[in-house]
Parts: sequence; C-alpha cells; structure tokens
Amino acid sequence: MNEEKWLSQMAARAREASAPRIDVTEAVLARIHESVPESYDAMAIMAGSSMAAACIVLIYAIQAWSALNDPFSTMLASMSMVLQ
Amino acid sequence: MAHGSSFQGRFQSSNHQQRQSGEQNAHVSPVSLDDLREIKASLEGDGDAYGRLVRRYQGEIGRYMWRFSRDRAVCEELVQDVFVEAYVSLHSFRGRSPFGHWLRRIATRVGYRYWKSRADAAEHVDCVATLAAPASQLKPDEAAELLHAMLAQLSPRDRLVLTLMYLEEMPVAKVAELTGWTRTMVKVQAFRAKARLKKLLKKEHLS
Repeated sequence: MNEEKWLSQMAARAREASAPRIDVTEAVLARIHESVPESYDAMAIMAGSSMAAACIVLIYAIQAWSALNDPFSTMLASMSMVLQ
Repeated sequence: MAHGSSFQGRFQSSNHQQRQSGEQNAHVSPVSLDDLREIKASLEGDGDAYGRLVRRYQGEIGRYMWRFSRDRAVCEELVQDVFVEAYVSLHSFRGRSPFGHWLRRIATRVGYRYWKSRADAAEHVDCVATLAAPASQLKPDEAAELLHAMLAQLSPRDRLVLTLMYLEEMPVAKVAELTGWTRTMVKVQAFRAKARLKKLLKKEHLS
C-alpha cells in the first residue's frame, strides 16, 4: 500500500469520528473582560501618577518663581551699603 | 471592551454593498447579516453580541481544533485562544469572506503555533498491530488517533499541509488561503510531506 492510499483511507475513516462538544463562551468572555480592564487600569494608574508628578513640579516651580530675585538687586544692595 | 466606533464606516459600506446586491441581484456579501450585526455590536463594546458569535461558531472551530490536539483540555484551550485572538483582531475583519472562514484562518495559525511550540515532544506510535490493520477494520476513533500520532512525527509544516488536505479534504487553493502560503508552496510542501510519511511508514513496516 502506498502512502497516498494509506493516508486517504485512514483520513476517510478518521473523519467519521466525532469531536467532543465544547462550550467555551463563558471562558472566552471572561478572558476578554479580564484582559481589557487590566489595560484600562494600567492606563489610569499611569495617568494618575503622571498628574501627581506634574502637580509636585508645578508647586516647586511656583515657589522658585516667586523666590526669584533680580540678579542686579543683590549687586545694587551691596553697592548701596558701601556708598552709605 | 469597545474597540471604538471608527470601524462603523467599513460596516456601513458592507451593508451598503448588501443593499446594492439586493438591488442589482448580482453580488452577495459573503458575511451573513446576523454575523455582521453581531460583529458591529461587538466592536461597539457589546460583550453579549460577541458571546453569540462564539456560541454560533464554537462547534465548527472545536471540530477543527480537534485535528490539532486530541486532548480535550488542550483543544478547549486552543478554541478559547482562537476566539480571544479573533476578538482582538475583530477591527481588522474586512468582511471579504464569511466570518467562519476568517475564524478558520486564525484557528490554523493558533493550531500551527501550538504544534511548533511542542515540536520536540513528538508522539510515538507504539502499537504496530493497530498500524498494520487496514483502515476499514479500525474504529473511526482508532483511525483518528493513529493518524494523529503518525502525523505528529512529522514537522509542523508537513503535518499542517497533510492535515488540511487529507483530514479536512481542502483543495490546494483553500490550504494556501488558510496558511498564507502560495499554491506552489502548498503543492511542494505536500509532495515533500508525503515523501517523509512514506519513509515513516516504511520504518514502521507498513508499506
């Protein structure tokens, strides 16, 4: 018997076998629900931490801006002290 | 779960195509209206709609994946992988072929990947008596088991082409469509696979 004939006959017989009935609907939906909210959560965490970091930087920036002096004012202050 | 509504246009055009086909009676969209409705709803985030699609096609995909693994648990896992992968790529479904065909393409990829991942763990056929028996004397399950074990000793590519051509009785064009190979490549692969199977059968004293 050649391989072609063996394969054809065996495949024909194998096709008569029935596959088990399966129901994966719930499992598929659970896997989809599981994966999607995770990515949303990760994005929300990233967005929240970025916002917190931006707020901290902003506070320091405002403080630094308000504490900023004119470089000439310190020079003039020392000069006026000498002149007096 | 929503993919967004940016794909609405495509589906509208599919519906438009169907309307046109109704008017002209010349071209029928390959995607059924029921499938189209569920796909559109799924893309808009309706999980129940996707559940209905899974319920509709799980029998067909389950039978197909049974060719890739005869372990029920593994088969179930593979069917799940197919539907999860299909959900993730649903936005890329163009509706040029029936939804079932598109699912089969994904299923072929999933099954082939599974075979490749366990290529080293080839099953060994140890029942020469069963091997020697003519197919007609075997029970369908025995024949399926035997063929599965014999093909498992080939490379995943050889196994895939023989499974699709002989077990699934697909023509070369269909195999090419599912695998993404050219028709010539399918023919060459099938020829080589049969040559390797012949060697294997000789080794088992069957031919």
